[in-house]
Amino acid sequence: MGIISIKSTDNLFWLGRYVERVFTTLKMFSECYDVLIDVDENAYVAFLQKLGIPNTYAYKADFITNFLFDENNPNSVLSTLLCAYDNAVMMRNEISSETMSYIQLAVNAMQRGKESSAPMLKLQEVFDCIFAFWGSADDYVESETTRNILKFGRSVERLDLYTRFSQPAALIRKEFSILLNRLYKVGVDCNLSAVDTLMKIILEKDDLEADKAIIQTELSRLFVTTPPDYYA
Amino acid sequence: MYRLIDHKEEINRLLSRYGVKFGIYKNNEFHERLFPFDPIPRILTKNEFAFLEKGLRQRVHTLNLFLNDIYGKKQILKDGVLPEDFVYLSKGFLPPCENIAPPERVYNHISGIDLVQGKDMAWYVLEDNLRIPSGASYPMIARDLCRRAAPDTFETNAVTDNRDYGKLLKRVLDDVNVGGIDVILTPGRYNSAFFEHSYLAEQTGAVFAMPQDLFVEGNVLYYSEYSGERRRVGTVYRRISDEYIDPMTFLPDSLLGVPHLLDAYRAGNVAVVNAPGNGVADDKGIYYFVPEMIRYYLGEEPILQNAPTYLPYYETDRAYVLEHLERLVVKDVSEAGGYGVVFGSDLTKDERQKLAEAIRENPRRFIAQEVVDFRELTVAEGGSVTTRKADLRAFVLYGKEITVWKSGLTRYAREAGSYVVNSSQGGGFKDTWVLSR
Repeated sequence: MGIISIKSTDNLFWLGRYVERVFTTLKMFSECYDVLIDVDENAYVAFLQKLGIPNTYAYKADFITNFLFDENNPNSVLSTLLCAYDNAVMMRNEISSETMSYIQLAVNAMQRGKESSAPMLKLQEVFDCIFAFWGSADDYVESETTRNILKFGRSVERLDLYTRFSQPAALIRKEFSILLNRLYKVGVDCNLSAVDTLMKIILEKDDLEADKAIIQTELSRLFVTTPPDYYA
Repeated sequence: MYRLIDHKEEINRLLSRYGVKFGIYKNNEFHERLFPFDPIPRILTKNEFAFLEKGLRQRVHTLNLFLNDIYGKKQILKDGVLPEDFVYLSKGFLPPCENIAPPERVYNHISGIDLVQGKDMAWYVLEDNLRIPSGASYPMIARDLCRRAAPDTFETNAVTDNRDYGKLLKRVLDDVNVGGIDVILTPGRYNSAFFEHSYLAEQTGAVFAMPQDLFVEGNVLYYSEYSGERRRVGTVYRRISDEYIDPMTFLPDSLLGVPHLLDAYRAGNVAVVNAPGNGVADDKGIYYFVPEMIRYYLGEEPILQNAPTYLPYYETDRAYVLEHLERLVVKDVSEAGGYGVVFGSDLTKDERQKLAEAIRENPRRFIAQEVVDFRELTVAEGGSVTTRKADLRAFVLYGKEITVWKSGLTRYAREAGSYVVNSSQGGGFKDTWVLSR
């Protein structure tokens, strides 16, 4: 196991979460975008509700542009990607310059998308960069612990978003199995009561709609890190 | 070599991809900026480098002897080679470092010596940087990309590989290690040289630490792992300024330091790279005396010359400086990074008068130098080539032996005629080739 501090585990975990947040949010956004074109111009309202984000957008076009690209909006995809970047640069020595570079490329692609007349086409580059990031992490990250914490963050975020977007229970169960596997591999302290609660709900129920809030709460309690005071 | 020009944009894009940036604070906001790279290298022939290498080794060796002396017996002061004022009034002189013997008695493990080449082709030392000189990572990563961009250029030119800096640095960290892991300590993400800190951790394999990852117990420095285990630290390559490294000894409100780090260092339980207190040796006022120090400590004539420098502290120099302000460059000894540097020729009459008053009031605060007309180097600009003033930061590593890195950071002014090459002031950089034949 590599030598790694509490702060670093926190950076890795959040790096995994933010990268996945960008990825899955963009996937869901793409579906919403399609509906917005000619089916329901207010579909973004429900989309934001699912994410638990306040609707600060005046109309469809305002939402499309600013939800994606507004750096000053902490809920925008670009802001989330910049949070991933902030964690990635902290972890260059663990994840390698090569792996980190894909986050930078994703940021560049988003920034080009902002200027593009067809931003949705540019978003494909962001997906490509994220796939490459994970591939590079598998190849270049030497420490298994580092990889596991990173991927554990990804699993937590994916489950959170899948639940918010009411994905099929079978898909959520599959992701949860991956998460459990990661959890045991990570070898860090986790909140066992949260694991128990999640197992009872996700593995035993077919309809998860009523338990969404509990799932999200328990997911946020899963990973135990003690961030330094200044970081809180 | 000129084939590299065709790939300038692409290489700069790749440098951006790898996060080759530096941070800058403007209006209290942190901004990351790309460090513009010009692909036409500075070329040092084998003989030219051999000359510089000899001079740099001599200078760095002397400065280390000076630091040992000044925090020990102070013989140089007793012998009257250097006025006491210049040591005791220097902000870089740290009384808590008195009588501490660093491992291997090395203070300046990594020295960044800034040189310029005059139009007469003579080299002059402009500044010694012995605290936390930065910049080695930029030519290293740029070289890697240039080799990919124009392999034939490197096939036909005998260019010494400079990508060994990480290994050289690791050797120094290991040489002085007193038992334990090597750690690179960064103040954090918003430090101007954060890219370099993280990149060097990757290149050396040292553990990359933030201040809160380290603690001292029983005069021993430890790194705290997330598993709850602790690892003893044998060498800490800190990229935090002296005044912030230990709030128990220096600035009490520093959040960047590690409490009691100096106690661990004083007890000989950790090597601190570079050693605290080095600021006294790279003080712009002390710089004036380095040639004399070389004669004093080594009994040799200096190989590398200082730029012609005047100390207003001395009455005759002061009179000369005040009389010739319009043609001199005046430097505030307490400033760095290109700040506090004033060209007399750029000032209005009123401004010159104000500067003259400040010099009269506090002569110890300033040095003045003749403006060395740097040799200009060719740079690629807008599809053609032109020339710009450039300096060279040479890196000298000091562990069990002294090694001059066969490369260096060449910084160039981006404005025609400008002498300001600092990255924080908008300068760019070049690779520095050392030819092996």
